[in-house]
Amino acid sequence: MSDKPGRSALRTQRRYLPAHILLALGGLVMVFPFAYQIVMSLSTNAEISSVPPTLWPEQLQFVNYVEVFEKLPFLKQFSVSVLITVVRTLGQLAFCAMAGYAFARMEFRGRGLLFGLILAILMIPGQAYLIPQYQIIQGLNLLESPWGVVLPGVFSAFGAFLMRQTFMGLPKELEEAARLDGCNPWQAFTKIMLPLSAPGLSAVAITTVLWSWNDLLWPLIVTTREESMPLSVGIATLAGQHSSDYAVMMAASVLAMAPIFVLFFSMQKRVIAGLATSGMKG
Amino acid sequence: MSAPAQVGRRGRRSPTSTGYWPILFVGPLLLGVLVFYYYPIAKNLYLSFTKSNAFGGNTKFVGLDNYEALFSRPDLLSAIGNTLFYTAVVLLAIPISVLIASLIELPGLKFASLYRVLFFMPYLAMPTAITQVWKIVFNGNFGIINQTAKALGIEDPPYWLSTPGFAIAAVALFGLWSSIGFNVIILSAGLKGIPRELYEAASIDGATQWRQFRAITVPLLTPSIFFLTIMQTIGGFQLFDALFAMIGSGNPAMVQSRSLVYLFYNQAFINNDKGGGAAVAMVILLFVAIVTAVQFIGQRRWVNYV
Amino acid sequence: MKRRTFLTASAAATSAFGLAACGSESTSTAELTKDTVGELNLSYWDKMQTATVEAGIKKFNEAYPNIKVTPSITAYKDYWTKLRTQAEGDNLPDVFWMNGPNIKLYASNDMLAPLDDLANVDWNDYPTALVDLYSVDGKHYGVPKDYDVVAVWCNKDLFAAAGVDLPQADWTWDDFRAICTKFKESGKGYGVVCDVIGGGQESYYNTIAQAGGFVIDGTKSGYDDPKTIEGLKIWAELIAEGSMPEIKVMTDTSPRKLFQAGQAAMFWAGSWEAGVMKEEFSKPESLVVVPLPKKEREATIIHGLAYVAAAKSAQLAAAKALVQVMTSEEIALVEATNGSAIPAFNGTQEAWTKLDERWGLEVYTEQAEKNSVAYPVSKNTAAWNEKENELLVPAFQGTTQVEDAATELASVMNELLAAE
Repeated sequence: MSDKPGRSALRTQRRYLPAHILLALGGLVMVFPFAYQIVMSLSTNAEISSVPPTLWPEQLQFVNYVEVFEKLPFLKQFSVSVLITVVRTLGQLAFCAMAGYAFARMEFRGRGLLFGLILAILMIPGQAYLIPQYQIIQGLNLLESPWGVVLPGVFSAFGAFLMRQTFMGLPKELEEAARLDGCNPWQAFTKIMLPLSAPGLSAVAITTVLWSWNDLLWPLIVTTREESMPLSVGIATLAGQHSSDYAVMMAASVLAMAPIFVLFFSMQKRVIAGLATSGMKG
Repeated sequence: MSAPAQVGRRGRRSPTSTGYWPILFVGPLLLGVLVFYYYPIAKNLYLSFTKSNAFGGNTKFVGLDNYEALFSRPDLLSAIGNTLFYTAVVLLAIPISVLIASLIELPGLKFASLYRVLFFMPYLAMPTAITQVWKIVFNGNFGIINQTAKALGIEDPPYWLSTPGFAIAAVALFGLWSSIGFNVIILSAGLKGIPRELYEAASIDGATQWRQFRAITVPLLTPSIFFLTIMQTIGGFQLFDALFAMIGSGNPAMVQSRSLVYLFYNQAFINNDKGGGAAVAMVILLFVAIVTAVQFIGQRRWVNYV
Repeated sequence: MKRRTFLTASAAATSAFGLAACGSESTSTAELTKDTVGELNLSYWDKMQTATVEAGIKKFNEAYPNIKVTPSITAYKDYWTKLRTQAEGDNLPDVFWMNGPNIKLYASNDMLAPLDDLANVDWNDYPTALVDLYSVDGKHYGVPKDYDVVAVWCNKDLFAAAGVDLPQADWTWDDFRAICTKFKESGKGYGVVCDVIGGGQESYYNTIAQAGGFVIDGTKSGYDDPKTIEGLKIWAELIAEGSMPEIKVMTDTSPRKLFQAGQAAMFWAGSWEAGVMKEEFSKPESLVVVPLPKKEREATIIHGLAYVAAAKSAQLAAAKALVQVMTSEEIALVEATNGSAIPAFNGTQEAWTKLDERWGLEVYTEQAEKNSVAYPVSKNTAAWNEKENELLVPAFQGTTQVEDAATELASVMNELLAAE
């Protein structure tokens, strides 16, 4: 409203001009594949496979989006995707925050070794896990089930490591004060440390949501019926052996990512920034 | 004030090192990791000393044969070289990402949320779309890079994706690009954890922005930077998907562009030699574990935890 | 014996399935009747063929209304990984699609049920080369479902622009090379494009057979045979003289795309390209299909898919009955009409050739009948397929000599075959 802050804000932005240019250019490079995907989703397959590629379709093919619903049980698969993503993200947040906290702040024998062993699960080619994990899930009678899709991914070395780093970066004083006030470790963790670790938690949440939503190989192995597949797998079934219906695949994938985009765009400020400041105040 | 007494003797060393609490905190994750990851790893280790048919039947113990076969592969050295090269290039994305993240988090920067979203966009695009775009960019016949090169007067620019050497470089550039989004997410979170008061105090003391960046931002980001270094190293050693998507198995440049995980895939899934594949997987594990351990030892010199 | 009777009866008329079943006295679980209750899984990989698969299931359920068949689709790229995982978990689908490179691997490791007792399958109803492809150690393990062969697509506009006559049906390698040379001189583009990078099915497997050579004979590689080498050399020569694009050009832009973009006059291509052309080619009226040129003989490589049944299927009799329905004449006709693949059942192909009547697609089906040569496979096909790519592609490019590459390939391949 008032004149003065407005002018100083403008001055700030002018000072930031190089930053704006750099970020806008960099952002363009990052966004390009997604933009191209949208163009492809509105093209014909002939246009997509032309040489050199057409950069803009002669006529926008919105019909590709209609076809998605004819070729896939889209809503059913969408709900499977939502379910497995929510469960996996919540599970990972819980297990990883707890373990990360212990690795960062508790002293116990074998801590380093144990942490190393957890990290080591990332060091072997993922496909080596495929068959044994399939047999475990089969043994638990969880094939076809969303739980079978979720289970191995809930246990994440990545999340535990990131949370460890987050907790190690937090000041010790608050926690010590809490302990002096008679909090047990669980109380200190949930009441003091967890709110403070919000930026780390949100980073784990964001990446887990994206990974889970896009995950292909494992859910593809575990689910065989079209209605128990998540969207990522459903979309992959559109690919043929000799040629693929790229236009519809791209349209399906745009539809699949749209809610994630909206969720992320509307939440990111609150998730990353908001919780962090409230934590600092607490 | 009676609290310290309750905490007890061990608590004096560190206020949180009490009794069975660590089991409660680490237990759930550890249990899952043991069942879903260590059982397969143990099985893999066992398999690496055996030969069996393609479906795991008819298993015979063969001692170290599979390891000997691996170490006598003529493409082992180039696979190690390619993997290290790729990992090194992907690690270069970290300083770039630090710069980007700290620009995005400049206090009061307009459109910050838009920029943040832009840098996460690669995650939102379909992998097929992403590879398609990059293949067009690198295409030797009409790609953007070669068109630019020709416009600049370079007569015969290389076919990036089908020339040995250039192919792995193209894949590494692709890897660098793909890792920036992830890095920025992590670093943004790390930056949010740095108290604003530190910058305000520094400003009052007359420190320039570059000086603040060097003296406050970078040191306090080191836990996140260390995290990324480890994750990208481990991830770089797993190079396979990007290689397969960008180059593919029929490409004449593939022979010279193989990665360690490609050798695993080749042995386990193309040659149907489960034991041989398992041996490659174990060697990769050992190799990465050593590199990671060295990085953990080295971190004490440069990572600041408050 | 009882089931044999029933199956023979049902062969007489497809609608008699149920009737015949009623006539059989069921004594073991293997007996199938109209009242048999059960569940079967069926795995396949091509979304384009979903309609055909569903038609087959519907047909099956007319005979066995209480057996629920659940189709499962996995994209080709991941199909084999998934199948392998399921195989190791003893959890293979009851019925699934199989291809040439994998049949011996699965059959010889006891993953598949022999189908010799399918009495109402007359193996003469299918191309012999395909029936043989799916036979291992004298037993039938798969009933052919569809096939693909190779022919040459010509872009008539380019031929007209260059003033070159279209090839005749009985043309030879010399005619082919002469046309290529004329195109090179005319400057109207490449004479030919063909996939020599992703395996030999559309390219050198054909020329090897035409030259009188062979890829594999039992457990012996044919790559050191002089005639085989002749069949390889032609590709190196075409590239060297500029009639075909360099390897790097075709790696970055696929032969199909180059042809569709009007950069080459001829395209050696599998019959599956018909569907792609229909979807993607902008000037369909300028296309025509001719047979492959001959050298010592006429030859086109035939490959096809088959339906197989898992050896450990809990309901093997039902699974076998499903295989039969899926490969029956009636479903073959549905497949031909859907146009997604050339059905394997003899005499059902005509509808497929009507995909675009201007193209002369009957060339494919005629060649399949007259000149088809079986696609080369062994127990561990993928292992030496990779070596083919690794050693032959540089030879086509001219960085190595064809003779040297072929001789080396023969010895590597013989080693791999011995290890099987």
